[in-house]
Amino acid sequence: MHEQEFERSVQQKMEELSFSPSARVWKDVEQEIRDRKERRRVIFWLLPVGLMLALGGWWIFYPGDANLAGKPVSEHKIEVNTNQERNISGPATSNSQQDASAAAPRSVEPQKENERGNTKSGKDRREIVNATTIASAQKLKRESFKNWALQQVQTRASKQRNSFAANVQQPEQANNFSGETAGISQTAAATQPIPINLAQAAAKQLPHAPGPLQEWASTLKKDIARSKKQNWKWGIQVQYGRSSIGQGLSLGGVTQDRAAADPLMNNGSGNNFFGSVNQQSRNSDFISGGFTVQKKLTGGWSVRTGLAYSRYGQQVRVGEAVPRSILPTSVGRNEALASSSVVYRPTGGTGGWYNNRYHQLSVPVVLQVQPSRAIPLEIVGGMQLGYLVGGRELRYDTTAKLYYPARPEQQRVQLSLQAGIQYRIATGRRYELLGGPHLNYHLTRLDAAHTGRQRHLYAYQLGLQLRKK
Amino acid sequence: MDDQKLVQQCLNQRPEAQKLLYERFAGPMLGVCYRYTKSMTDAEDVLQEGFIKVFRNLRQFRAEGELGGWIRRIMVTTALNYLKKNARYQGELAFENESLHPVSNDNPEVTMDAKELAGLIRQLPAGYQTIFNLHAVEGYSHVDIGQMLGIHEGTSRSQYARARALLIHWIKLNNTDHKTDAYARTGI
Repeated sequence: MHEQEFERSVQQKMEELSFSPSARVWKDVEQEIRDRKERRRVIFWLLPVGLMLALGGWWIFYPGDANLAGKPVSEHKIEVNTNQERNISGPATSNSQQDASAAAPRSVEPQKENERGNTKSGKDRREIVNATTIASAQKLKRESFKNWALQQVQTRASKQRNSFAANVQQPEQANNFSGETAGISQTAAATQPIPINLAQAAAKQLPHAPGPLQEWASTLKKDIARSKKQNWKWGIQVQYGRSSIGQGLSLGGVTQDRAAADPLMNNGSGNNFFGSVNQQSRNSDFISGGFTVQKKLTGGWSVRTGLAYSRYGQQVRVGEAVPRSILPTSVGRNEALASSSVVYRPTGGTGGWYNNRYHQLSVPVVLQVQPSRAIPLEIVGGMQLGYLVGGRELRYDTTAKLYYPARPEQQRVQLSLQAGIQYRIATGRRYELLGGPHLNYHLTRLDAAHTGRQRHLYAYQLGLQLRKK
Repeated sequence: MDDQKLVQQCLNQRPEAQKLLYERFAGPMLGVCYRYTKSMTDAEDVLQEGFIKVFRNLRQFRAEGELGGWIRRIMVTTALNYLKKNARYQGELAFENESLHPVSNDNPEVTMDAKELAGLIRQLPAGYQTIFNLHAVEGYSHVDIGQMLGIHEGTSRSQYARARALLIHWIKLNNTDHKTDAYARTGI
């Protein structure tokens, strides 16, 4: 068994073979392990953060009850500004104990006034208090930043003055400069804004000292430089799924007393009823298509934007089509109904379905992360800024007791949340194909403010994306 | 710290344990990677990829086997994947269905040290080098090698025989050179 002997001796020799790897190997391995942990952590937090964003968005865009929603915007502003001034002006400008003690009850006063008046609902008060708190916090933040900036200028000015005074050849220059910096100090002491030309002159003459802003700017600069190395890659995306409208359904703006007017209310058919407005509805098709551009960032992250067209829909029970000849004379008051090409009569929960349609052009800005290099799966999450370019929906005329299609009264600009996952289905030399489920939820309500309705578009869909590698 | 405890601590994401595991096995594993590649840079790349796989799949390690053996198998698989993916090795890895080459009974004495021998193995064409490593050093059968590389068992046998013959030839030459040098030094 010569062969075995030879192999055995080779095997023995090779067992002894050992080298010291260079330091970069461990560094890269360690980096990769840590990145993976970070990505896992990000995914762990992505869901609650997304949820909080959605809730926050809802809170911001939810206008409160009909009374508040009906009020002109300027009224809100006046209330908020009054409270803000009272809260902020006391402690910010007073130095004495007396002033400080006087400031405290003043800050509570508006809230008490609201309670005494009791003219607002709980939500109104909450909104006012929240707005006041946010405004106060923002003002305090601005104040502290201004103070910090002034401090920086003063420190630099004093350093410069000392060194300048020590090395000065021309005393009058030093005096001039001292005069300028003294001006800055005095201005700062009086907490008045620095004259812009003076601040600029001082900033030009002073050497750059590293501060938190500079450090942040430098990190940002590096990040931008790194991401600049990666090119934007284009792609196309198509999506198909189901869509509908959350929180109530479309019945048109003709009547406010829908419960009394809508013949489909409480008809006992056992079909889909939901919300306070009980019209039957169901999901309709959602289609979307557009082009995408995306850029790789570091650590498995990438950012994607582009332009997309989307068509949302919702089906509502329509009853039966009615010939225009039977339209009653009272229809003349409703121009939209009078000019409508087709009208429908409710038939108590039976009959056909009508497709409400909403067309949107949007620009998404989403972040994508591939949690594991081994699994070609990406998690997608972000926002989408859209513009509703058109649509049609079914409305109900309470006088004529007829449904008719009309152009919806919409909030044109729509902000929506987008989330999903996509899996790399196929990959070629230059292109890759990804697909997976996605979800869109509109934070902005669908209807114009004066309608008082709280409806939000949403869609869940399967998407395919073909993009350059 | 024994291997099992070390693995457990690595699974608990202890950085010092991860470094210890790397330091314990990196040297010999770089030796494994070195035999399959043509340059030290490539070997280090394979080592890096291999260790990333090791840490990712550590949960799959069963305590019945040896940790070193498990890591070694990962390194070999990673090296094979690296060779397949890397364009530089593509041409040389085209295994042709050659006629069976008889294995010679030649059995020279291997007097050279491990690094010299590894250097000779690395001078073999990539296809020969891979099959020689898998069969002679790792101990895989030709059937297994055929499955691993997607080639016929006979091709593996044939290429191994050629690789072996070539290597033995070089070893003999090396031995002769050494003897000549030794004679020269002793003045015979």
